[in-house]
Amino acid sequence: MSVIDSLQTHNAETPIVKIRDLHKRFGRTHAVHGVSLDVQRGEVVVIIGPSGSGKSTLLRCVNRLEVPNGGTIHIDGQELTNNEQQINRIRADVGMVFQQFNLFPHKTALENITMGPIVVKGWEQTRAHALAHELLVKVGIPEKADSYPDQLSGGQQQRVAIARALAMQPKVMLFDEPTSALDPEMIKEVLDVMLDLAGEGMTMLVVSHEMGFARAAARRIVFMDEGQIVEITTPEALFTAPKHERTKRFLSQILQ
Amino acid sequence: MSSQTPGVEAQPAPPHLWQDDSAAIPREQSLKAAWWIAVIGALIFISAVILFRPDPYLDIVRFIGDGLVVTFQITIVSMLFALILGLVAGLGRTSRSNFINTLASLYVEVIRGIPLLVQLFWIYYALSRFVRLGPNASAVLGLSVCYGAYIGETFRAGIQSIPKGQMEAARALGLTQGQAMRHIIIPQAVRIVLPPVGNEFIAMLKDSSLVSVLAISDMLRRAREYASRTFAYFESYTLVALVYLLVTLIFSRVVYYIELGMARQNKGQPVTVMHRLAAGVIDFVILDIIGLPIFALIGLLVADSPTGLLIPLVVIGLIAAIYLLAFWTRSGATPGMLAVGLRLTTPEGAHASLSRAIPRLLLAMLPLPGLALIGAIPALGGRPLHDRWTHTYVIQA
Repeated sequence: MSVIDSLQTHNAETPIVKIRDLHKRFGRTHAVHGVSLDVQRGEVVVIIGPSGSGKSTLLRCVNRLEVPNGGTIHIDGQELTNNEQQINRIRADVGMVFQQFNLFPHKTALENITMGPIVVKGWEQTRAHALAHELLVKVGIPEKADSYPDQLSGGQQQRVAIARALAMQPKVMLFDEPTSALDPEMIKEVLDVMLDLAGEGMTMLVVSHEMGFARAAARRIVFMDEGQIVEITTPEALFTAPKHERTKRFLSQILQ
Repeated sequence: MSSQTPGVEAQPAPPHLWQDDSAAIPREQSLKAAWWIAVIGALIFISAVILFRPDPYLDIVRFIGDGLVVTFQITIVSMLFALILGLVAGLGRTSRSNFINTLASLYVEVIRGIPLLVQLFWIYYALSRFVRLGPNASAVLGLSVCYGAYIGETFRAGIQSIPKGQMEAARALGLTQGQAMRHIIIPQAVRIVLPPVGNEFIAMLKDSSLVSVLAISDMLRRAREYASRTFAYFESYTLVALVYLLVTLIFSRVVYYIELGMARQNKGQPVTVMHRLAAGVIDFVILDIIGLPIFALIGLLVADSPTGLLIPLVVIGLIAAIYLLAFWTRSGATPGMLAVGLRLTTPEGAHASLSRAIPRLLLAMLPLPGLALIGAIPALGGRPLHDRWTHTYVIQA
């Protein structure tokens, strides 16, 4: 790494996520087709688009759950490569929240949250527990510390999953349709937690169709279709004057 | 997992939709009834014939008694090796490396394609052209290689039944592949795999009767020896069949409780004596898995030395320490209790203290020094345990 590069790493203007010409194929389908996107520090970017448009795949490439076929991704100035150790280091800085929560069912809520700090960062148990309790208060369910995931509602599970990701004190959080598997009455409790996070200045890359959240928290909205970015715009502009025909059609479908 | 059906609040699992239908075919109920009928029936029959016709039945019981010990020894030692082989084969079958995967698959396919009896004959008679293995070594090798293949498949299925999202969530936190396996995948797979492995143990206990063809004095062999000298074929084989039945029934009940413990729906239901007994039987088996091979080994090494008694005592102490450590780190559960999903708590719901483990430990270990003693005291009709591996008893004229 040259001196200039290392200087850039600490430059506030360096995007925390820098995606350039990303390609990902599954067999013959071109899931992500030449996507470039920057996410700035403290920015909330919401990605929308019809199913199969490649938005989840894009997100999963960012912490390399999918290995891209082409293009580059930089996280806070560091390029993602095939180096296993480097990937693990970067993953620790990138929190991820899944559609299906993916909590560890054999661990309590507290143990789910302390898993990362204890195993990856080598923290002492007492220190990790203190942090976990703090995070459970933050997501509004301090009384569920000793509950197992199957004793929690979907909304509570997702909030524990958010706390689990936050426990690694990530630089950026990825949300992959965090409310899609939830019953309607539980969506709000998860979105409220996400709004709080956004308010605290957390950098977030969110795949979601929750337009209320997008309007309230997103600085930019990315509309994707067929593996490509169709337009990047502000929430206001998107709802009042979408530029592209495809965007209009999609919005009319999900907003009716 | 409940992720598919999130409830509003944490609440007891709703009754199954097909509950009404199942009432028409009372499977669970009849199975329970059949178990009790079979166990009580076998017990009554055995005690009745011993009481009312001690000649020849009491004689037979005495004669085949040490055969049962040999059956257990062979099974438990073979199970230990089969579990190790199975873990290697199972991990190999889930490996992404083509070479390792093919190698593990080859082992599984070849071994599963040859009957166990043929394998035993081959190892004992055919292999003797190159390596001469004793009957015990042949029996253990045959059983563990054969069951390693089956258990390997069970392990593979267990590992692969863990949803992909578990590995992804672990990797997303920054855990390495190995850490994710150790902390996330394996602990969950063990819960799934435990009941089928228990069934393999029962199957092996029954299949161990095949080793009687290698001149090992297991229970069946002993019965044959008795019958061939007294012509009491009916009496000998009836008793052997009933003892196998009784032992198998007890262990299948234990497996049932393991399954019950793995299914989480029955949380908060009262714990029955049977449930606790099942935990005790598992603890006994686990302690013996560690204990008996060590005993056998020490018996071989220090057969006639005066310190012979001291060393087993040290070993018992060591096993006890391991056991207590398991209780302590598992905060209130012995391995057996853990397997059937039990946990010892104070009335306030806190984890039980270490001292509560000691009576349990003593209870589970009671048969261990007991077995050693029976073997060590010639007056009781026995010889030291290590003798049983090589000697065949003959009835005196």
